[in-house]
Amino acid sequence: MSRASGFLGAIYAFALVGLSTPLFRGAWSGELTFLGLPRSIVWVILLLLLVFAAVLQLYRADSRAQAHDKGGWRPVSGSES
Amino acid sequence: METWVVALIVCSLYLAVTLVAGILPGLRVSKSVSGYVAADRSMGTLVLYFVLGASVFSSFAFLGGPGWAYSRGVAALYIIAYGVLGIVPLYFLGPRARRMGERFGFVTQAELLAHRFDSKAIQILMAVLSVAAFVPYLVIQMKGAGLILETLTEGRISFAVGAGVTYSVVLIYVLSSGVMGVGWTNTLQGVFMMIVAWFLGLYLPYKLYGGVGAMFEGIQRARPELLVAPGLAGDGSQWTWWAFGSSVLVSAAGFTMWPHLFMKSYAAISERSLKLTVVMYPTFQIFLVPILLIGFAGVVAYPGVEPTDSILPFLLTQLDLSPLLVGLVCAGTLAASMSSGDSILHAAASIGIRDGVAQASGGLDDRRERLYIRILVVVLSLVAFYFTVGTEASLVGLLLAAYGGVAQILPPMLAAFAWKRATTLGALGGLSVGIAVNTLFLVRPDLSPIPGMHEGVWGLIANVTVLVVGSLMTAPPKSERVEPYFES
Repeated sequence: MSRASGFLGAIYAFALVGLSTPLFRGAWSGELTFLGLPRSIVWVILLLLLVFAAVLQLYRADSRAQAHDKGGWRPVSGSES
Repeated sequence: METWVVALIVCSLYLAVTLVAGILPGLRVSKSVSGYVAADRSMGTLVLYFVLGASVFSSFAFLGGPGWAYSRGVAALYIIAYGVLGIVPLYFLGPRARRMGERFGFVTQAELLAHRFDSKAIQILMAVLSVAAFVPYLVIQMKGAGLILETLTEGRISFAVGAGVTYSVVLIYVLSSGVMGVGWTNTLQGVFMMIVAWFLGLYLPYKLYGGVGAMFEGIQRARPELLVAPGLAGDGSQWTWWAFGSSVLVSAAGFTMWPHLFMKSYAAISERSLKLTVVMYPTFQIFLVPILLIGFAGVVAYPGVEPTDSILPFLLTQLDLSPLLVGLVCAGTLAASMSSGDSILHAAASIGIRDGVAQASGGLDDRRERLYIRILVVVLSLVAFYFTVGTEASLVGLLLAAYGGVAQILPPMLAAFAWKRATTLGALGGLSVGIAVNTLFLVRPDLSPIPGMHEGVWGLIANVTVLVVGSLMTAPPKSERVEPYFES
């Protein structure tokens, strides 16, 4: 497993717990915070951005790996022996 | 000229433009079933992005979302929460499914599972499940179209006529162009919806309260219970975390398993474009925030609006907005309804014929299959229209019920690509038992061991248990059948 997919896995697990349980109860409060929005809305947007960043990171790593595969080292015919 | 007349003219123009945008792209794809159902695997990133986005954000989001925010407060955040979690599996499953589609000629989700598990029964079962889940989803879209036109014209256009005219346009371009028509109209509709959502979400709080912050301060003073997570239940009591959490999880599990979304993996021009679509997807999801702000805007200023799903058109009729603006918003809401309805209609008919009728009758030739798909498009429209006019359920409520069934596809789909040991008996048994248990708790919620828990959770628990136990009790599948699914 690559570092980027591990990072996505960790963020995804965090978001899964964060978005479906009251474990981070403070984050779900109705207190008004940033831009006058309730903290729960800010929390959901924050987790959305975190997951987005992790998927983007994985996409970039995949693209780099693909480019490396295409332009990378190839054994020259007969050189293995 | 009266506001409703101008609004109607704008909506009519919008419908005319959509019709043209839906018919023209169909001329570019082949007349085969692959062209009609999977666009000859030629859909680029831009169209794919809007198809996935606009298909999901529908009347449910545009009318049901504000309706929930208005009546149930932050409970409506579950809609954003499940979207965040639900799209990620497509990054991994979509490219693999596309590869299998290209290799074996699949254009539906059920074909993939039927091949992997070597079972025609699973294909027919999925066809029945998909069509059964699609009908309520389609009803939601038609209800949305009827509701917006009826409310904005103050009853001069009836609910039934509004839904009927809008879906006649959808019917024409789906019949003529198939998925390519769906793709290009969704692009047009997606752009339109995003502009309308952001404009209204910021403008309505400003107009009614002087800003978003002031609006929430007002809600905190007048209805603080709406801002306390997880919000309110339908009857006005506090919603439970079990109900909120399970709704998020089941909807996330079902999100990309909706056949009309999953099938777009086959339409993608490349794996890269499919992955890029998932990467860009949150930009579509963030537009649910202004959508919910629309609902919150009505809480203090206009309490007691019924049905709550009509809060958006209600606000439009109460504020002194320019008639042209009202017309554009009305058209934007129609776009939300049509952009999902067309995709659902097309997918439901394709699946019903290709996975259901064709399998049960021993196969159909390409010409006949395409003809039957079109006939089913018409039949399903009529069935959905019948239920649209005849049922009273809320938009979000209807969709939540449908999600439980669709979520049952996730375990066999994950097993197809991630567990070589998964067998026909395990997958078929798990899916059947999962659907049965989900349906049982949907019909008899009083039997649920945890009150308020979404019935789909019980279905998923039963599904996974039978999948694992059933697979381990039967002989492993042949490696030549399984190996292609594990090649990177």
